[in-house]
Amino acid sequence: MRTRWLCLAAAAVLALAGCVGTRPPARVDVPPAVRTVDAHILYTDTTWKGDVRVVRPLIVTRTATLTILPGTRVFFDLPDLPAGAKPEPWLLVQGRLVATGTPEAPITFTSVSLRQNELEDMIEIRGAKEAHLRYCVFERGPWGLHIHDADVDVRSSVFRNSYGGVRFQGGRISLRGNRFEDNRIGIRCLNGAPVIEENAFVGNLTGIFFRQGVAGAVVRHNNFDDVEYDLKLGEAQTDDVDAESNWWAAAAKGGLADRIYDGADSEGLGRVRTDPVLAAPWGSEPKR
Amino acid sequence: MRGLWRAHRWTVASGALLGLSGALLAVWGNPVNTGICISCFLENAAGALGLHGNPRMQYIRPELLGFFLGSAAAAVLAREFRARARGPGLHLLGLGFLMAVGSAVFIGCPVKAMLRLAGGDLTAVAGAVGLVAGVRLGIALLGRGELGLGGPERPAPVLVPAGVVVAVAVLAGLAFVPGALIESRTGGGAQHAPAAVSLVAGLVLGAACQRTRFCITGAVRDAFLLRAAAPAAAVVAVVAAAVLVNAFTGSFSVGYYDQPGAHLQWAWSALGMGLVGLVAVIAGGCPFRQIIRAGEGDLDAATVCVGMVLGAALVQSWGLGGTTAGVPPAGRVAVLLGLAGVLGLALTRKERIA
Repeated sequence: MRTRWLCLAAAAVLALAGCVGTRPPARVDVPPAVRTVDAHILYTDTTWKGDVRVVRPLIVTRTATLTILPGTRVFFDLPDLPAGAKPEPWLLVQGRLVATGTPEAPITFTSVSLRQNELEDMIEIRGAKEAHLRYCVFERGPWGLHIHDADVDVRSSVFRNSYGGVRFQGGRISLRGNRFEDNRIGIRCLNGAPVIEENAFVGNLTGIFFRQGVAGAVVRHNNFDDVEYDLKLGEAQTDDVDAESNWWAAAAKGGLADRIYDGADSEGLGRVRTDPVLAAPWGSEPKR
Repeated sequence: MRGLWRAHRWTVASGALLGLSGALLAVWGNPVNTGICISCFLENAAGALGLHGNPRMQYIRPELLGFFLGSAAAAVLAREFRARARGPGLHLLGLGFLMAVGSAVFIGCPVKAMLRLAGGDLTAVAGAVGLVAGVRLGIALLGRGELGLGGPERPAPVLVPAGVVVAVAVLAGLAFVPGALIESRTGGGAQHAPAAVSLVAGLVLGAACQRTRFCITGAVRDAFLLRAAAPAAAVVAVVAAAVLVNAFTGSFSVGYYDQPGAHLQWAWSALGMGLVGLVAVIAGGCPFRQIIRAGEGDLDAATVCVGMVLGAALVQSWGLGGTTAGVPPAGRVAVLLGLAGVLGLALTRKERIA
């Protein structure tokens, strides 16, 4: 009897230690040699490299291009949002953003304090001329990218341990080859026709959320293995969504319907068409 | 009729310059569709002077100071700088306050209404219609002698406007000293073009519009009074020039929804701008024109400007202004009270005349 209690206690301690161990730390250390950006408006073309610390909301005006070189680590270290205050994007891009890392030297955007709220954005791209992101990592923040009426191309990037990955409205949005991992929401879209191809959605509460007005979206060759929903439609999303040729972990277990929220769950919503589904995760077999 | 067009050609050129500068200032860093907005700038200025506590609306806009100083310089050079006053001060303060309230409910002064239209913001159409209706109502009331406030123009000590010019020049200098004035770190107040560019644009526009007497509501008023399109061409020029710049810079986006700094409550947009149009006719010019006139030494206009600054501070402190979410109840009440007050004043004066 005593042994059983000891085993139970040991298991509880291990479980607790596991929980504490997997939770991201409240703050991460900023390298001492970091360069602090204290300007709040960039009027001219600017290049970031090395370690950069952003301590106040920064605006890239329409006259400027912000280029971030491979291997750059951007630390967002902004003061906490006062209660009731209107949130401000940490980096507002109205001009151009070019953040092209490489597989060997990705660009990281890290929130120094763990700020997984749904109100703020690490980078907001609003009416910008153009934005290209390759091999970027967004972590520990609210939303990684918030895009309004801009043409943005995001490839081979990682969005993890944040409230959300990418949210957008309008514009031409292309998301290819990215990984959305352990966020509350991977992608949220309002009024658009995005191209979402060859991405991996793993461990998010919801992989993709189409709120409203999404028509003509391309959702294919993605791998889904989320917690609650892989693809969810909002209450005003009445158009159907084609999501053929994706791999769904839930389908292999016979529970795909439970991971899709659409007209089958709530009358009046559009339907998500998933057939044909891929038999194996995209990328695990030679591409045809 | 050709003479009329000829007479207005420089005013039209000023309008084009205003539209061009307004659109370019937004490209260079001012908030979208807010390259020039007198009411927004005054709310920023009131915040920078500590008159309200909204941390998102605190910045001395050099454009604003440039309008005033450019006008003063042009007036001095043209020997038109004259200290003068006409009406009693208190009602002028009230008129300035009402212009600030009406503009805040619409989210922008008449100049910004034109810039919003030029950006493709269809929600501004209601404001433009309201502005024209307000001007028309103002003409009707003034034409019947019901609101002809103030007597003949009287000379005033020149030291008064000269002192104001010096004070504004000092303020312009302080705008370039970091930390001298309160400055927003976030929000619209933190978005601005380079200060030197803003000041130069303001000086040039101030001087040009002083020489040509450009005024949005004045142009509409003259079009009604002269029953001719020529005076209104200056307003069209503002929009046309800004449309060209917006098209060239990719800032033109036609639509009703999701426009920056706009709400969808068109009735309140119309009423807010209607109040501005009505009051502007009584006060002798739109908010922009008031600043230009103040720069010429007109103490009545300077008093209206003080009223606008106080109004801007109270708009922020009391939450009267519209936001993208709509117009708050307090703002609606303020607009209705403003309209009722002006119309009530007209009616009581009419009875007195009768």
